[in-house]
Amino acid sequence: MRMNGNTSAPPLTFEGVTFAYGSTPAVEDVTFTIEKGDFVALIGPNGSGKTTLARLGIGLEHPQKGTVALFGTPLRHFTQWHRVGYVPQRTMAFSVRFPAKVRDVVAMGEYRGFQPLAIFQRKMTDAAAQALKTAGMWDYRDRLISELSGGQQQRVLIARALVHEPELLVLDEPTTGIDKPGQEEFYSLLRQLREKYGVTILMISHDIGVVMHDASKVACINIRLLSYAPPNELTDEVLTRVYGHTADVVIHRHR
Amino acid sequence: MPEIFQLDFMVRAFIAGGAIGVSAPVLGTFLVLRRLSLIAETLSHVAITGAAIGIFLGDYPIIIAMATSVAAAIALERLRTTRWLASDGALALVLYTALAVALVLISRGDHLNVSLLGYLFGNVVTVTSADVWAAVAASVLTLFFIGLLYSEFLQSTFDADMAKVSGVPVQRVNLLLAILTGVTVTLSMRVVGGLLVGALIVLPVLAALQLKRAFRTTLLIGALIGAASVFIGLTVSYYQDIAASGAIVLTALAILMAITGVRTALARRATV
Repeated sequence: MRMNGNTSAPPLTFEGVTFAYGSTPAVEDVTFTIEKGDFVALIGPNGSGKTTLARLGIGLEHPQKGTVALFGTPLRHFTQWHRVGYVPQRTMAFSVRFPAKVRDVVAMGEYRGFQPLAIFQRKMTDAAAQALKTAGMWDYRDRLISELSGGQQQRVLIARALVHEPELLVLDEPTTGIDKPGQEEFYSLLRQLREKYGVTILMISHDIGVVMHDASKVACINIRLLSYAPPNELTDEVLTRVYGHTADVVIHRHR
Repeated sequence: MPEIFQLDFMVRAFIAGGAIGVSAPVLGTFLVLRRLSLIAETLSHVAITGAAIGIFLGDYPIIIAMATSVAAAIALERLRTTRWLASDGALALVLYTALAVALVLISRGDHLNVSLLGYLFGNVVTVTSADVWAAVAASVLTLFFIGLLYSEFLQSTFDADMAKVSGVPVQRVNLLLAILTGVTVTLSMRVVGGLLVGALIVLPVLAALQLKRAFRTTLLIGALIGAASVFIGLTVSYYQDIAASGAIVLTALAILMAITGVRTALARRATV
C-alpha cells in the first residue's frame, strides 16, 4: 500500500467537534482519535448523529466548533484525498437512471486532480481491474450500474473507493440492502483489507453482531460520544444508554 | 440546391440552431441527471427579463440578458449550496421574480411588446449574423469546458459527496455549469425563443437516456437528437409556414416518443 506524507499521524482525529442543523444539535463536543489500523464501528440510534459525524470526518460538513484532522492535517488544509475512500449509503447516492458502466464508476475513484484529456481515457487501468476483482464485480464491468441489484451497486461503490488504495476507508452502513451471504463476503473483504494492507476503517453500522466480532473499537454516539472502547469493554449499561431498554434483546442475542 | 438553403436567413438559422442543438443537450445531460432540469427554464425567464430591461433602456438587450441570467445562475448556485432554500424553492423564487419584473416592464414600455415577442418565441427571420456568431461561440465554449473538465463534471453529477472526497472541486464545477447554462439559454433565445429553450436542453436528453448507453455515448446521442430536432424542425417550419421554435420542440418531442414507443414494444416482445 502506498505511503506518503505524514505516515505516523493518526488517520482521523475529532477534537471537541460540535455541529447543528439550524438550532437542532446533531453532534456535540465529540473528541476521539482513530489510530492507524483501527476498525472503528460507529453505532447509535437513528438521529444520533452517526452519519453527520462521519461526514464531518471527511469534510462534507464543517464543524461549528472544534477541529477535525485527517492524517494530522486540519481538514481545511487537507489535500491528499487519494488517501481517503468513502462509501456513502447507496440509497442516498446517485440517480437510479445514471447512464454509467461499472468500469466508468470505478474509474472515477482514480481521480487525481485535473486532467485535460480525461474524456478520451477509455482503457481500464490495472488498479481499476484489481479493485473490481477484489470487490467481486469483475464480471459486471461492462454492465450499466443502474441495471445491477442493490448489493451489486454497493460493491461497485466499494471498488470505486478501493481503486486508489486508500489508507482510511469511511463506510456509511455499507451492507444495507445486501443479503446475508453478501454481507459475510463483504466483511471478509474488509478483514482482508485490514490484515493485508493495514487499511484503517470507520464504519457506521446497525449490525451489533458484526461490531462485536470485527471491530477493534466501538464508538457509541447519541449526539454526544457515550463511549469509545474495544467491543469487549462495551457494557450493557452503555448500550442501554445508547439504544434505550429495547436494546437488551439485541445485545444478548449476539453475545 | 433546394430553395431553403439559398435564403440567407434560413442558413443563419440552421447554423445558429444547429450549434445550440448540439451543445444544449450535452449541457442538459448534466442538468437532468442532477434533477436540475428546471434550472434552464428559470434562467431563460431571467434572460427574457434581462432582454426586456435592455429593450426598456433602449440598447443591448442580449448583453443585458446575458448579464442578468449569468448573475442569476451564480445566485441560484449560492442559494443551493448555503441551503438557505431547497433547490426547487430557489428556482421558483428566481423564476417568479424574473417573470414579475418582466411583466411590470412590459406594462410600462411602449414598444416593448413587439420586440420582446422575438425573445419569448424566437424569430428565425430576425436572426442576425451577430446572433449566429454568438450562438456558435456559446456552443463551442460549452463543449470546450465540458470536454476539458469531463471527469469533474461527470463525478460531481454522479455523486457530489463522493466527488468531494475524491478531491473534485465540486462547488466550482457546479458554478461553471450554472454559468454555461445561463450563457447557452441566453444565446439560443433568438432562435428557439426563451420560452422553449429549456425544452431543447431537456427533451433530447430524456430521449438519449431511454437508450441506456454508457455516459459518453449518451452525450453523443443527445447531441445528435438535438441537432436533428433543429434541422427537421426548421425545415418543416419553412415549408409549412409554422413557428420554428414550436416545430423544433415538437420534433424533439416526437423523437422522444418514438424512442420510448420502440423501447416499450421491444421490452414487451422480450417478455412475451
